[in-house]
Amino acid sequence: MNVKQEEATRVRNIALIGNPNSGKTTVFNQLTGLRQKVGNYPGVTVEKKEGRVPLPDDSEASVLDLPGTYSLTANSPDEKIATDILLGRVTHTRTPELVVCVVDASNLERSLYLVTQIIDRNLPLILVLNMMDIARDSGIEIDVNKLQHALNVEVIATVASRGTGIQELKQAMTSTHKATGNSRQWRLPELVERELAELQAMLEQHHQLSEPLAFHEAVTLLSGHNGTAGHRNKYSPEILDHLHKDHARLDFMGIDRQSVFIESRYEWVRRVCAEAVITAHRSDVTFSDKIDGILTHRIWGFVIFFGLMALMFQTIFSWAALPMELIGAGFDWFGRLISDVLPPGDLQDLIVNGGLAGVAAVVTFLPQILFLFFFLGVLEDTGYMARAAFIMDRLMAKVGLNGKSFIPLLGSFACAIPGIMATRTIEHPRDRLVTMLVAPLMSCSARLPVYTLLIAAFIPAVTVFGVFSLAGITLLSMYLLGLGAALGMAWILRRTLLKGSPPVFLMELPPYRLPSLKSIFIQMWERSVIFLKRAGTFILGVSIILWFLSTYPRFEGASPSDQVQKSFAGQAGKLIEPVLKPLGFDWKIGIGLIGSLLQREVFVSTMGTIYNIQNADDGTGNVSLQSRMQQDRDPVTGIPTFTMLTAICVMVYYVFAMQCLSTVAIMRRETNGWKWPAFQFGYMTLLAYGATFITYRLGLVLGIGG
Amino acid sequence: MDWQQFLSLIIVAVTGLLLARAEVRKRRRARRTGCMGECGCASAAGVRTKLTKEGR
Repeated sequence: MNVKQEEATRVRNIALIGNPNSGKTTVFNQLTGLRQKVGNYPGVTVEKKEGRVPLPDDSEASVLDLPGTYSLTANSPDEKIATDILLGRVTHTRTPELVVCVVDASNLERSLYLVTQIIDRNLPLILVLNMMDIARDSGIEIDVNKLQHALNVEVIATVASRGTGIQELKQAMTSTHKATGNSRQWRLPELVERELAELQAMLEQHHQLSEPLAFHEAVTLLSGHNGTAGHRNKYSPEILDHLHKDHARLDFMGIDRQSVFIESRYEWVRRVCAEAVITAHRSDVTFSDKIDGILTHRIWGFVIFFGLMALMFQTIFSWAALPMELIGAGFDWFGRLISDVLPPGDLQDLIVNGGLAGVAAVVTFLPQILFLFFFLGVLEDTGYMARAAFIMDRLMAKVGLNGKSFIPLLGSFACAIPGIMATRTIEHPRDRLVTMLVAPLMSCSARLPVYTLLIAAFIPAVTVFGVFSLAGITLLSMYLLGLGAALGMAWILRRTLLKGSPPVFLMELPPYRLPSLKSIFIQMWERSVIFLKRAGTFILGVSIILWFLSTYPRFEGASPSDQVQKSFAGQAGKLIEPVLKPLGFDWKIGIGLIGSLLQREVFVSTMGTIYNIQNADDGTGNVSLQSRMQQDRDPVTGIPTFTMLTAICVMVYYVFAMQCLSTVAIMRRETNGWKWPAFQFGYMTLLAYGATFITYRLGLVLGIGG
Repeated sequence: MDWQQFLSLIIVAVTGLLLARAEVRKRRRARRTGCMGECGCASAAGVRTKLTKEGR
């Protein structure tokens, strides 16, 4: 293989960067074919994503999808990573050989600010003018040639959602090898230019920094950006002394050190736009603006939000009923088949009443979880979620947070883990910590099986206000209770442990668009795989262990009910029963609570296993778990184990309790210690106990305990 | 002890071992990647956190 061939087959290292909502993730999907979520609101790209792209010259490129950022002035952990990678300051990650910057063509002036910073870095650059269709619809015409000339970089026009321009982009990725002379074209006032040049030269000389890196550091130090205070210490006393004098001189001249850089960049950007962009005069009020007038209205916004949520939960109940029945019937058939093949004995009992019953109890809820993700996906894809965050900003401000914190909280409806990880887009450490501490209070999808099992069994099937079912309203109440608790806790934390004022929230509302069913179905598919994998591994394993703990030690001649009570699991449940009694819980619920300390949905599989073992010999055959729970009575007193009040209390307990080891582990990692996860686990457990106790006592007073 | 009882106890013991092993592996992976491998978080997320700390 000669040198040329080697060069061609070598993998090129390309970084993809852009503002949030510029369609960067869609471009990444189109280039790599990798499947990932496309979100509408800022900061959806919280993970490091990499993909391979086959290029037209038969070579291959490795594309790194950097987090969405408005500038290379690192405010949040996400922006910092993007900045550090472009500056080559990240170990184990090669400095990109080519940068592909995706900009929203309908918002060119704002997007070009980031471009000026990348040009300063003096790396080969391709500018992708994405969403050209939306720009045209908004009456914006961009002369690509003029823009290319003004910026001195390759410009490719795309509509990434339709794949338009992607082939041209791949071609450009093949041919753009050198920094095409792109160097800084924006200029600062003379005095600042002089100071900057001096500082840059000193940095190059004293610290052997490369020219672009020295320039970046000089700008950062000279502008006195907040985040620089810490890393000033790494510079020599001469540089710090020089910097101090520079600051004094600029301050004396009345030059705002921060804004002079921003203004100078924008001044140049405006000149470029004036040359290359023609904006037709159209009505300022767009279709999206008209809809926003209602959906983000102070009162109607909330009414519509809660109405949509109520409708969503009701639909989850009604649409999922049939597939749930079918899955249940499938498991029943499979259980009967095993019973026919295997003679009665421990192995049959283990498979049918242990593993299968536990897995079936959880898997039956798959349709509800899928419908939840379908609706969340539709709301997100249409652009409604960004509006939800916007209207919630007012409420969030009252508790000391802002709309940006609401996005991770919304994400926690699916699972607290990505929710906590999404807080990396929050700039202020205290805001981030408060959001992480309250995120697990949002009802995640693992709670859904617990709620729906209890609601279906104990909440009467009646209609409320002629439209909504009581079951749907109860489910919605649990979600709202979690949201209310999260906001309440944030309010308390903001006034006690983590004091501070809420930062200003600037949010870009993306235009409304038709949801992409393909990406929603891919997301649902991924969810199903995760859910079924967990049911087939962890839940199955726990169910098998629970079968053993509920079956041993053996007591000859004991009825199945007595056997469970005297078993290891029964003894453990009895041991904690005095603590749970004030909440109206008996030892069986105690077993469920212990079992689900690792994962919440284990409560459902535990109930499935225990009730199957307990009723193994009663001749009732394949009666549903709900019916068994409804019919279960204390053998001595004859009092039902579960009543409507008990069911509500269990749900309230699960709304507040942590009961998720994975979340504790992620909290430990994100906060770099055990202090905050321990605090979180403690306060949530106390909150759960207290709230359940109050609910139970209130229920008894109101007479709904019978 | 009949064969069904014997076999079921073997299954329980093996399951216990597998669960313990999976938990240990998960913790190790979590330390390395910052993700429990659940709920769809990408495994590379933690790499970035680590890089953030090392970046400067």
